[in-house]
Amino acid sequence: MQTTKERTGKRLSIPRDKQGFLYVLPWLIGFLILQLYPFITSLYYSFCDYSILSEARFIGFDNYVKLFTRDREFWPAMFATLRFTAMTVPGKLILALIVALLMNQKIRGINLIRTIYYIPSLFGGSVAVCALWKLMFNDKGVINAFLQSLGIPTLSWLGSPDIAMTTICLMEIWQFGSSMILFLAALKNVPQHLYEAAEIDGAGKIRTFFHITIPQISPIILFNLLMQLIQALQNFTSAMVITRGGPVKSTYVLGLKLYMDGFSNYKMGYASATSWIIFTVILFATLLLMRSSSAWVHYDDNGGN
Amino acid sequence: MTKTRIIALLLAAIMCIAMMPVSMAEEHEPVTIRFSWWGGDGRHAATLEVIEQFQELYPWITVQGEYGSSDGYHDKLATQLTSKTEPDIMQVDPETMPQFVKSGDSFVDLAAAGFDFSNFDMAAISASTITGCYDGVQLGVPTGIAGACMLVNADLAAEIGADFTKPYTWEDMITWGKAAREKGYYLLHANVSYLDNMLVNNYTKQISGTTLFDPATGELLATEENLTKTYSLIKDFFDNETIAPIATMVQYAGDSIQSDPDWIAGKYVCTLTYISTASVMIAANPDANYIVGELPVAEGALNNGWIVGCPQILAVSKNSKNVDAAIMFLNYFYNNEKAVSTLNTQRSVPPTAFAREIVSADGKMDPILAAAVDILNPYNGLANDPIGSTPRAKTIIENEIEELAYGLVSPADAAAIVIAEYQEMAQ
Repeated sequence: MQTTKERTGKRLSIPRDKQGFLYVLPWLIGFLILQLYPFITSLYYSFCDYSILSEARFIGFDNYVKLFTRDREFWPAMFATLRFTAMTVPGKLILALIVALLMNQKIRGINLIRTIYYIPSLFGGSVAVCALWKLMFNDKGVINAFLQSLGIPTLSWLGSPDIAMTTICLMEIWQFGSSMILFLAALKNVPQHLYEAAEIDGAGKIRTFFHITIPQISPIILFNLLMQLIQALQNFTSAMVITRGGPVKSTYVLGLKLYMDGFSNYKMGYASATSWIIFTVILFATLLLMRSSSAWVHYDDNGGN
Repeated sequence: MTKTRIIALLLAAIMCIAMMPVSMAEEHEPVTIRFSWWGGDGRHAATLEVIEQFQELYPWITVQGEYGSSDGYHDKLATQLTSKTEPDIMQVDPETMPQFVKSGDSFVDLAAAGFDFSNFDMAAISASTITGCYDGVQLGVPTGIAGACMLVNADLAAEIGADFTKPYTWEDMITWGKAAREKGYYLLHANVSYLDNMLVNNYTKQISGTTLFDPATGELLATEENLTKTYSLIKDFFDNETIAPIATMVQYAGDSIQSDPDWIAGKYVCTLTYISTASVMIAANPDANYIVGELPVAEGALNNGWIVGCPQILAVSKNSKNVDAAIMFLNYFYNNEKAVSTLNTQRSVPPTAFAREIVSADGKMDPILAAAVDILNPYNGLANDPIGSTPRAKTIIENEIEELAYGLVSPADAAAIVIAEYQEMAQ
């Protein structure tokens, strides 16, 4: 009769230091097939004239040259993307932080309130929410009906090129729940003795917030900033479903241009070039942010140094 | 004794032969085929019913329907064709199909595969790629007779004194539009893509006598001068409020045009739509009294522009592992009386005389659709060219319609931009 030790020894014939690979194998396979392979092939296709159903033909930098010099849609799409990012990222973070501060209070039913505020984020990027938004902000939608009932002049939320971008940004900002949860966790981790010391020293609420709370939660601010920046630069769903990039391309972000070039005009090589430009912008923005972080992010362990 | 034995053996053999079809039927391997289409609720329900009928008749074949609206349908189909994961049977837009055919060898030669074309007027359907014929090979089967339809709210037209039953020009529409505004209506219900497909496409053919590009050589035929005239007409439509403001219409872009609350409330005199879409427009405001009007033609037109075409074609994938089952389904879909009666006019007026007779006898021939086909038949405009029909070419025209309507460019600027982009496409 085998002992438990013998059986265990037989089962674990893979060296212990290699067992980790076995555990991450499902992810590894997924990463290689679904991420790394498309990543590399898209780089190759970005240098090709590649239309759907035909063979890819290498053309060097032609796609990039055309995008930067001759494509009438590229620069407006780039500015629309940057505008979307500039509006949604600070908007979302500020709102998330304000709500997290409110949620950090010890009041009755706070858990229920937190859940309710988190719900919009569960629908993040969903087509259904975008369709709902489209109906609500329609000229004859519920928002204008509400404004009208208050005697406030109505707006063409989706029909005016000056306002349409703000409308889709509002939806993005409304989905602040995940950032809020992270802020809330960070706020709860701020040592109470710091506030007590500040109180004894006679510091006011605002001074305490800017000199204790903000530095203490700065690592989470950096994390949220990075995640939201990456998400905003890749935006697609709201621009596609709510406005289809209009009116007059005012919400035609790079993510949508990439989709239209690839799947409506069947120019996959050209769309791949756009995707690599988006990737480069994200990479550049991330590196810049990481580099700046040493100046404003406070780590308890001095950043591991 | 021997004789009895021989008779017994013969009887047994006859019984065995008689049993063969049954046993063969039982031996069929289960087969599943996929069929994708776009459309409205009525079309979905009728198509699903035909699938059920077919499955009852051929229980070993399962047909999986993949259906939805037309939004993004061809984007998805293009991706499926690239990755060779397309459905066995596909509904395809006749103007999009040439790009799929040009780019690859994706579709089955239906005649060679055994589709029964005996109910079709082969001379008519083999004349053009629009009806699925490429280099003499029938790669698709038309689902109906289609084209433009001027759907008119007869009561409102009478109220403003507009007679759509006689020939009229685009300029007449502007005059009628002013009368409509005085009564609080808009004359024409159209979004940017309808303005492109109906107005730009046909008016340009009418004033130039040519398509945008040469269908054979791909050479650019459209001129800046003619396109300036076309964009000037569009500007006049907006300036005179013949159509609703652009800020309103961009909210009902593409195929969501019927959801405009003002159309539902009956505040438009007419809409230039497709025969296959007329029933969707009617369903959005069913209480109005509709007639089908003539189609507008420019004064001194070199070509009347409007054409009789087909709304969709059904094609079978060359990658299908069950081409025989797909062909059996198509034969049932087009040539079975019960199927034809069930489908009635859900994909426009049926493409064969056989089906039209059945649908008429059933009393299911929508009089509006029948009238639209009768009115369209005498028009003999130029068929659209393959380059001018691509999504990219349409987007270029539509971008400039939007910019013009928002006052960002003049008609001459819009025409110059389109020509510059088209010259690049032609290269």
